[in-house]
Amino acid sequence: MKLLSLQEMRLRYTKQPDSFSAYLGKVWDYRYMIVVLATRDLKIKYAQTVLGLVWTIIQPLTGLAIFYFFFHFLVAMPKVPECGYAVFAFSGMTAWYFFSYIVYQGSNSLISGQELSQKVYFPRIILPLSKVVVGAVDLTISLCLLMVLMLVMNVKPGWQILLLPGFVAVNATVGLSVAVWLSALTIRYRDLQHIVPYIVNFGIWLTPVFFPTTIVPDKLNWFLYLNPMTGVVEGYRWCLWGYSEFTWSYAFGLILAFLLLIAGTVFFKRQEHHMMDVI
Amino acid sequence: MNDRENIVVRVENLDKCYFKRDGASGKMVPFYALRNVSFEVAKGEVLGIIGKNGSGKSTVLKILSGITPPTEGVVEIFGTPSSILDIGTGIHPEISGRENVYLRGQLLGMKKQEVDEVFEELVAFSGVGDFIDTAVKHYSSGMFLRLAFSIIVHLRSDILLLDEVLAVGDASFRRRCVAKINDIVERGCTVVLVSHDMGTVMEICSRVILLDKGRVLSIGSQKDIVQNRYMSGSDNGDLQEGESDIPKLKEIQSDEYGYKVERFGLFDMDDLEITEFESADEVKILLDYTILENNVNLAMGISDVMDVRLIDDSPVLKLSKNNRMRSGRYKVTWTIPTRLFNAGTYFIGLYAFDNKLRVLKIYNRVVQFTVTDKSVPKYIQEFQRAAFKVDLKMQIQRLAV
Repeated sequence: MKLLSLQEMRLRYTKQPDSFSAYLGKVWDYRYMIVVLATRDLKIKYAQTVLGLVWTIIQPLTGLAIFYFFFHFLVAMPKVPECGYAVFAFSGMTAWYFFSYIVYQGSNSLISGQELSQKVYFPRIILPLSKVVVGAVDLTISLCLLMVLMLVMNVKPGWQILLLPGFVAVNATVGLSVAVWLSALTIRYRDLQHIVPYIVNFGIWLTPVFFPTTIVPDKLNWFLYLNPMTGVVEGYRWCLWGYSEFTWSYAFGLILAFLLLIAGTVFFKRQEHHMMDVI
Repeated sequence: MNDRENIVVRVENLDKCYFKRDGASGKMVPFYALRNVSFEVAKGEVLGIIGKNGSGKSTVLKILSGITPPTEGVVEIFGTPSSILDIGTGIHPEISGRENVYLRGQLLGMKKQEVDEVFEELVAFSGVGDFIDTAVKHYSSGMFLRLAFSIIVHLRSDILLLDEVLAVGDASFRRRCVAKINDIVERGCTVVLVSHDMGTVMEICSRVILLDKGRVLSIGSQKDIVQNRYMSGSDNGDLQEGESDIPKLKEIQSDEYGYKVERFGLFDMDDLEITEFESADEVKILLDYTILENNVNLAMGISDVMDVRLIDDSPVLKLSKNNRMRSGRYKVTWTIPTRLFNAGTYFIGLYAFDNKLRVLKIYNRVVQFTVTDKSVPKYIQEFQRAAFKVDLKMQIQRLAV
């Protein structure tokens, strides 16, 4: 058994919370925990299911089939780009589902993970972070499906596809900024658990997932761009199959989300210190 | 102990305050789970923390493991701690034993390669065998506990914080666990453990802290503390303040069960009632009682602090045929031979039974007495576990130089 020398590691607990930089250092030290928790989630998710990962494929495809039927077959959506409605809607849905997974699971992660966090120490922000990793697995599968769909529809990606990881990162940041705030607030105010479905279910209609921004009157267009997810969804489309033009209006959402995330982390850390006595 | 280099855990003036809602006023009132707790743990030590329910034992471990912050005071830990506050945390019933071993090992801070290295040994220790690839929900509760415990004792950390996790499994597995803990300690690991199980504390702790209502009542050698704890009479954590499980003499004297005790106690040869005597002195136990109904008998028993019966005897064994004593008043004297007991605390109990040997009433710990022993140095007494001094025939041969 290799033992560390006593000076190597020194922990100190007082009533003072860690400084912000020390906290980030701890999160870095415990980064392996993100993967461990995500692996655990994934294993549990598919334990004793016959179809296993197939469910991750079936779910978005059913969603697509339903929306295709309504917005293309029953009510023809105007101003749909050349790629066809299926590719258009599915690329939006892919981004949105990633966001909604992080918001749903992340905001609930402190409560659902309390069995563990009451007994094992790790920076609690690891919990929502691990949900991002789980969501990313679903996202990857969804993106593969999208590629297949594009191949079938004969839609060719351009060079911009290389920028996709950047937009995925923005997507995760937006989701995480909401999840971090909600999870920290949910500790004291359980009411917020009921707000999450609203954000996810109504939010999709305030984001151009099923409709192009061009059908929205110009006067209201700015309103759409207040929503950081608009930039993300449009960005996905731009880098996947060259939809419309790259605009810096994407950046607005990113900056907003980034500021929210930093403020959220500060708030989260403040709550975390006494979290275990309150939860 | 004074070697400051060797201190791995230092706790200074620890307070932990919670708020509870006051039933009458509805206001939140502060409530101290810990008050001014200080102690140090040296490398390689096994420190036991004992106390009644609600004395703050588990709160100490929660603070040591960083789960909850102290309200006042400082905790310093030098080394990598692993805290096991619950035997099965993180073990998920739906996934296999193998996957659980890896996940839990990693949750407790091990790397995957480190789990690889101990995996075979761990599975062998747990005795789970072929079931390692079966979902844990199909395990028997014994298998589950054995697997969970195996993970703990194969952890690689230099400070183990254990909360009530040793009292698991059957007797033979428990013995292996204790042996394994001793093994880990020999290799330089430090253990802080919270336990209700006095057997475990006696067996593996080198030092014990007794907590009461959030304060340190005493710190000392395990023998001292464990005996001290029992001296207070009320070991049962569920008892409220002022209550005691030592029966009152009045209660024993009741005639409800067909007998009446007039006098019961420990006396010296001059018939003075005593509670303490030197092992070399001769003393006697006196029982003066009246049998009101023909079918009632009484017996006396001497037990140690763990309530293990050491001696029992009843006049019915000497006097009667058919386990029957006739009604009337009796005086029974038992003489305790000299040099019978080792130093320690013991209890005398009283037991009533009928002539079919069915138990009517049990009074443990009616009389408490302490034996002192000048013939054995104090530091040896600390390590003495046996109740009796028995002169075995011992031969010593030196076979080689």
